[in-house]
Amino acid sequence: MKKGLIVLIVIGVIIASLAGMVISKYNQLVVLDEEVNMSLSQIDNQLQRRNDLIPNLVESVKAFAKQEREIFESVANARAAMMSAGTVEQKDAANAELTGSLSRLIAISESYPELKSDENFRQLSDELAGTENRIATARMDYNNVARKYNSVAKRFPMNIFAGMFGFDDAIYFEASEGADQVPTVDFGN
Amino acid sequence: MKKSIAAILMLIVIFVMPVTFAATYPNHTRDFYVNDFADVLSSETEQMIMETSVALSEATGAQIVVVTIDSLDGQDIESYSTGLFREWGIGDEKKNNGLLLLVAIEDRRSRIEVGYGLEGALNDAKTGRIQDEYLIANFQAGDYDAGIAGTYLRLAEEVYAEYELSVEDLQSSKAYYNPVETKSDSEFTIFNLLIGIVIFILMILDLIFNRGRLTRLALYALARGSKGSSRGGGFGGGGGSSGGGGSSRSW
Repeated sequence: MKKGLIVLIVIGVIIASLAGMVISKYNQLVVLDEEVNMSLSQIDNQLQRRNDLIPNLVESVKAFAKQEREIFESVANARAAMMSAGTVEQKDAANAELTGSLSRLIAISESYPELKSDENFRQLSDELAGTENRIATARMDYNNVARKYNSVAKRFPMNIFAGMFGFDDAIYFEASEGADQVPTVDFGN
Repeated sequence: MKKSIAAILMLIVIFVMPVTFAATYPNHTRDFYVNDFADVLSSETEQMIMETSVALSEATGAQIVVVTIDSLDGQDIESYSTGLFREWGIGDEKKNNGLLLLVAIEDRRSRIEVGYGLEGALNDAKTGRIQDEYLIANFQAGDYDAGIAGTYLRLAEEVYAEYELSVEDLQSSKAYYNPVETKSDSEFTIFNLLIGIVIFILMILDLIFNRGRLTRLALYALARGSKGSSRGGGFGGGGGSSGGGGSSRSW
């Protein structure tokens, strides 16, 4: 009789402490989830900013290098893909592709000295490089928060309950790390 | 036994280490606004930067910091400057109005990094143009001092305009900056000598009759006092951040 009571109490204590743990982790996840979303919207802002920059940039290049049709086309396609991307994976892939096309677009200025020294083009390519760098920074910030979130969501006890509460794993934004080279033009000489 | 302690310590180190920035950055100097690690600046330029930056920071919270380094050690200048900017916390914590001019001499790379709060005043294109106009030509001629001074002044001008301050405000607020320790090294007067002798005698008496309790207490208070004041002696970051805005150049 007494033994049974002790066992009951022990079980009760275990359940209570487990519940306490779950509640505190749950609250932590809610906060982190919010942070993940905020960081993601930071990336979105910068992606949008770049998408807005592209038409002007393409126009300024076209003025000097009309015949580079293939590159203009690839930029236009990548930009369209970027605009229609919905999920993190799609955005990640589209971003890598667009960054690649844009760096080729910037690179052709090496063969057009007049384009390279054009004031308008210089300004736009500075803006583009700055925006690419902001995207890279925002991605890094996002991945850090996502990592924090996932480490809570995938560890005991939340690995059991996260799915139940509707917490999905945060997806990293890191497709083709090599492709995110910020396009740079050497204006120095 | 010792092995297991070492293993536990290692585990602690591994888990506590932050994952955010892998690279390590130098600590800023006491002057904070001027960090001439590559040793290319004249003392006049350093003085000018200090006076201007301190006055600006007092008036607006905006912080303009100049850093020269020898080498980026293979890192790209963009991530280095964003990392350094955040680690030092350049600019006001709320306004994020910091500005960093970073020059890596051996890599022949320069960058102006702009905190969120100043992106309106200094967009990427403008920071690029400022480097084109004031930095590149001087650097190509090997005059780092003139290049940095000119670029810095141009940046300061923009920030002053952003806060609707004029260059006169800048001149008149020079008084804010008192060069560190200008006091001539303690004049040796008879009065000081007398005080020294009296303290020495008291210490001896304390040691003989009181086992040196008072002396220890005084030393302890002195140590604590200097610990407290050494923080106030230099300048530091306001906790500002950057999202990677700005532009880079090579020469």
